[in-house]
Amino acid sequence: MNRKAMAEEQFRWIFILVAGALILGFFTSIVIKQKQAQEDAISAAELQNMEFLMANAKVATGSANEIELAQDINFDCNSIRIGRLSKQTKEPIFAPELLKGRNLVTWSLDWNMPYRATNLLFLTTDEARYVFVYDEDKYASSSSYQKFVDELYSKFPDKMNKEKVSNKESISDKNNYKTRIVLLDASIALPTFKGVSSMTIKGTDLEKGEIQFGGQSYHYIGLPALYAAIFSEDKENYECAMDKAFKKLKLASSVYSEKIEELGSIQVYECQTHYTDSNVAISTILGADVATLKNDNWATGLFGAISAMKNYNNELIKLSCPPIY
Amino acid sequence: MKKKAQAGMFEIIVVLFVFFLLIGFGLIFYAGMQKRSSTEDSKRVLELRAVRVAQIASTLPELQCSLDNAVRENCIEVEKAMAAKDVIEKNIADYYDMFGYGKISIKGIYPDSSLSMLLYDFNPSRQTYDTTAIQIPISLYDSVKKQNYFGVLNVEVYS
Repeated sequence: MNRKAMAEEQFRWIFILVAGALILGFFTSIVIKQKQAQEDAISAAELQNMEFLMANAKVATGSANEIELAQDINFDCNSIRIGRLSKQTKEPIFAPELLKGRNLVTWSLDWNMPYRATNLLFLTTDEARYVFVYDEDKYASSSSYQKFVDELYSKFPDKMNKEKVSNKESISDKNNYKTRIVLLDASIALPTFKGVSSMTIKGTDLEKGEIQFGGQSYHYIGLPALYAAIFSEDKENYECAMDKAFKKLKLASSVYSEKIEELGSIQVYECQTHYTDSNVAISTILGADVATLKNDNWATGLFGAISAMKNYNNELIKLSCPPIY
Repeated sequence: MKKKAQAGMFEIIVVLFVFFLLIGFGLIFYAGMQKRSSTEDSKRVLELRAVRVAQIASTLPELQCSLDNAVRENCIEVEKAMAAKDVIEKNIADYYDMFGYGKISIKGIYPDSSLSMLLYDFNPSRQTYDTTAIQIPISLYDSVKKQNYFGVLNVEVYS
């Protein structure tokens, strides 16, 4: 073979190599794109599931639901991110920043202030652990404390990873990525294993009391607000989601305020008195926001207005007047 | 020898050309199929959205009938709806997050067919690409007269 023929042969092999590389590259890029598209499709399906769950939570409250978790979910109060996709949310959702595990557990409760303003949605997984710590001595001596601890624990869904321990027992590491220790008017030396966070609930009343976490105290009104703090990652997330709940309360209160005005035209004296009085209470509820929960006087005022509104409504029902809610 | 090599090269180029031509046809066919299936998907998504909006609207605390927080399913209170109409109009951005582009109204059927109320209407550009409407039978409750009416909840959603 002469030199020219050898050069042509070499050129031919180079040409084949280049063409082969091109074809291989083309198919590789298709496979990579398909893989990415498939991952996005899974994320989109999961996001859609979340959307349905949230819509269902608005409709049906009370029961906890469990769904299989295909991918980890990142949550930051304003958005839910799965894989590369994310979705903005305006609903009051309380959840850890990272949701990982085999199953996602959802639970929603009506937020009645005193009328239903919205539903609070709680998200967690079977891998997130919730430890309720009670004071053993107080539990033995105070029946109200015992009732408070038992009710708070029993109403927490069984589908969630929960346990109740006394302050004299130690909390062992069960290798959970997140462990939330809920101190029920009790104190312990916090364990040092990874993913531990704590919060304290002061008082023995499920209707109102004080919660402390992240160096901040908040008043809670009603059990859903108390559970909301337990599920929140930190005080920022709690405040952010409670702010959304208060915005919904404002909308519902505006409707009830207009309804009260409308009902005020009913020419029955007994009814009218209660409608007039309830106007004062509803203006306090209308003015409430997340800052109210941090101020002792404002929180007491809000609780008073809610109680007064409940009384007016009960009286109106007794008098066969159209109730407010 | 040179001519034979050139012919071989030409042969490879023709094979490659035909190969890429076939791949091109395949891709065009695949893209066409994908487009058709995504059109069907978006129609299905719009229908699902209409159902979801109807579900949310009928259970909205601002509209739903209740007695001391015990709610009545598929029931809208007329007094609340009248008040909610103004509140929704003033806070349209908040409700847009729940309902998106669309229109929600209630209509009395029996015994009073004159009752009709537009509760939500949001479509600023007045442009629609696709629309789906559903009607849900509901009970309308007048808490002052303590009377129930039979009515419908109309939901229209736009893409």
